[in-house]
Amino acid sequence: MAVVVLILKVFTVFEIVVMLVYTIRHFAFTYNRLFGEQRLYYQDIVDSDLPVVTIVVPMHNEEKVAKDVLQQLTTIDYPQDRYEVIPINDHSNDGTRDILDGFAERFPFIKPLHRDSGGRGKPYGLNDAMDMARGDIIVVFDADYIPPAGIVRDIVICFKDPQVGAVMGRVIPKNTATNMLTRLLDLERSGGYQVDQQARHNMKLVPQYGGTVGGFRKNVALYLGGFSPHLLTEDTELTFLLLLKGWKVVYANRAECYEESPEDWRVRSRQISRWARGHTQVMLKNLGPVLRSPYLNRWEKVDGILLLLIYLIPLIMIIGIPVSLSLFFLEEMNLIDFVLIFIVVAAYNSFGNFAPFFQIGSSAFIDGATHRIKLLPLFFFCFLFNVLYVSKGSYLAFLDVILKRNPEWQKTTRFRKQSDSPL
Amino acid sequence: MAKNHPFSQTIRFAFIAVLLVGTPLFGGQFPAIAPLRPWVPMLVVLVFVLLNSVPFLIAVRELLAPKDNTPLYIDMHYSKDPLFFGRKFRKLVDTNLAPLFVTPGMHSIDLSRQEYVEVSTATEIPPGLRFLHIFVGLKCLRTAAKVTFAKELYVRGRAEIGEGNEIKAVYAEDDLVLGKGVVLHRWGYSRRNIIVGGGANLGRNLASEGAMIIRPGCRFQSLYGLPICFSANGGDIGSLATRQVGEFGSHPVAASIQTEWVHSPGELFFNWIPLKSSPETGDGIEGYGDGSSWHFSQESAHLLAGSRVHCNIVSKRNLFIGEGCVMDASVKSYGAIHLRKGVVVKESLFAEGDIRIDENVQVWGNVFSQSRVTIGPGVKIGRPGSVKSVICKKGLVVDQDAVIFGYVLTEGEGMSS
Repeated sequence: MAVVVLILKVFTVFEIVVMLVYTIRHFAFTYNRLFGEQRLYYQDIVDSDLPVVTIVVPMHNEEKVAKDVLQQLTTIDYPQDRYEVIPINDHSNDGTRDILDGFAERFPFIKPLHRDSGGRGKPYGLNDAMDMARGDIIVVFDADYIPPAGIVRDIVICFKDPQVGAVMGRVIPKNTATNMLTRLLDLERSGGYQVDQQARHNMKLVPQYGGTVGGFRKNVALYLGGFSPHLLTEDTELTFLLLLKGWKVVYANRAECYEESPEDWRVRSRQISRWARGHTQVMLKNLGPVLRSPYLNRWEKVDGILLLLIYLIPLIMIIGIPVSLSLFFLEEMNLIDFVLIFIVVAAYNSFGNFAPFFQIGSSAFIDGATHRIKLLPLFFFCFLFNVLYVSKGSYLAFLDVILKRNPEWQKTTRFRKQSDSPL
Repeated sequence: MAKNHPFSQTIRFAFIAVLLVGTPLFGGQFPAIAPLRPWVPMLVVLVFVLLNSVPFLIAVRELLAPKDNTPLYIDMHYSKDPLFFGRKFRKLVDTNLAPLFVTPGMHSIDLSRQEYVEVSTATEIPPGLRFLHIFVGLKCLRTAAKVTFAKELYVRGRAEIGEGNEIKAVYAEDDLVLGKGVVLHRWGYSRRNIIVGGGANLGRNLASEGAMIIRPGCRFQSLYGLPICFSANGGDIGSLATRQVGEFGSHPVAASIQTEWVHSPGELFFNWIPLKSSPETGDGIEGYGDGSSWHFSQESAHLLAGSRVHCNIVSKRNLFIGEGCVMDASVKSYGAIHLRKGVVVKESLFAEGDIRIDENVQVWGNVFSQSRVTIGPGVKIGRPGSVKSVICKKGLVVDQDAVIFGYVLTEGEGMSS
């Protein structure tokens, strides 16, 4: 019994330490964005010699949104002879094929890739698109995105830096007003990009390539073996593969693009579980290599590890509930020193729990959208929701490893109606 | 709410979590409370619930009667344009000012607010005058010393701005000449060439669709010209305008290459780590696309004078590139970069620290620093026929006879010395 109690106590202390570390991390990011020095991004570079770029738009049954993204991509500000668009029709059985072919007839630089055989999913599509791409740089937009005119140039220009392997832009939800979920997701996105990603860029840490509204070097991606179809978050995988080979990922806050966020809690639960499952897969694969990498400095390693572990936190919290209950009923809550524990728990509950909330509030403040900060208390529900479904995703990832099974790609449901077209 | 709906599961989970976590946090024992009147605990609970609800009430109110539920604004037409100020003003001229040109005199128009516009056929402005309204010169215009334009100045021909003039913004359809000590508060723009006298303050942006000459002692934040020449003598507008772009090309590349590094970086005197280790390519240098790079990790790296390097270089610390070196690709440093005399860099320079470029260096690509950049005499940035940039966060000093083909921007202060 003494061993069990010791294990439970060690876990509880571990949990408290983990929470404190993430609290400090979130506060550091928020402080940096509010008061710290902001680094220049490459967007100010004006260069007439732009590389050839291939814009890839993976699509599976995207008839609701395909027209909008393609229409927008015909108006981007980039030399006509130096870009092409490859929309991937990935086993669609709706009207997606006709829409793509219609655009291809009118615009010769739109070259649809119809995938009717082979595996389905974004990694398969991206690998096939890279085979036919003419560009040195691949820029990816999901089908529900509405790219503005200057975004491709803003993303591509930073590949002038010889060490940049991938670039991530900022995602902004378009359907914010729809319901409580979309309004909360809008704030969550704000916190994630305006503060989290930008602070990591400022602090020379590890901004994350998110798989859309971003780009990467084609040759490097091919050299790294392309995208694994068995990973649910090929974007996170690319981030770490690049870092481990000495490349950098940069974040471009001004490369902003509208997206459609989930309007239904069920869809959101699937999406966030998938992210957690994929992220945990990547974590299991890359934790050791990140620690040993000669290319990452101490702080990049710390941030890389915290980034890899982030989807495990909800699982740790959930496990912490029965652990602390057991300690309580075993009358063994006297961890280390009661006063110390009290201070730590009180400090965490006073500040730590709210660190992500400060981050989100600060991002809304920076964006000049101050009224929406009033919604922050509702994040209590969102937080619990995330804990539940992220834990589920992480748990499934561990199960995948144990059972040696490969998870299947799931497409996020679209909600756009023709009358909602943002164009 | 459906029985198995994710959100209802979350609510149930919330109750359970609060119960489970709350109980041990209180240690299962609440402090002993002296006997109270029966309504006191109820009142305490009621106040507790009410106070806890306040933030939620505000949130629910914003949810039900939203004041701020529109998507964050993205300018869907925005694209980086170094000629932005001029082009935007030109639109304003075409849409709002052009109808006034037929009748010289004072006009009142409604822009973002009521503005007065003086349309004039004058070609000379006497000294010391102060214009508090928008001024439109229908012909070429020359101003004497100490004239102030508190609003925009638009000239349909060549504009020669006298010494010590103070202008909010100026747009010239032909050449623009800014005299000594002119102060631009916002921007200046010329459809042709610009020449700037010494000691001028060039505001936020000075842009020309043609060439630009800047004399010593000028301060600036952002410049655009093809090319921008920093010159104490020579180079008047007339000769600049008639020169061919090819004339701006400079020295032949590296007169005497002493050492050529292509496949054997191990022979270099500093430690190196290849950015990749490709089994197909063996030495880890040549390989896929543009990814062939060297990565230096030691305190400060020195590249011997007269070396030639065919691949990208990334240095974790300060990087010194010796005289006459030729770099066929880009150079990046997490510290400072110092390019000694006569170096040629055929791609771009990126540094977290200061970049110092000594005399007669050529950089064919961009120069980008998170700190300061110092450009020595006779340096050429960019090449004729292309547009490149010098971007630095904290400040830029450019010496005489330096030429930049394209764009200059600093968040700090730029200065021609």
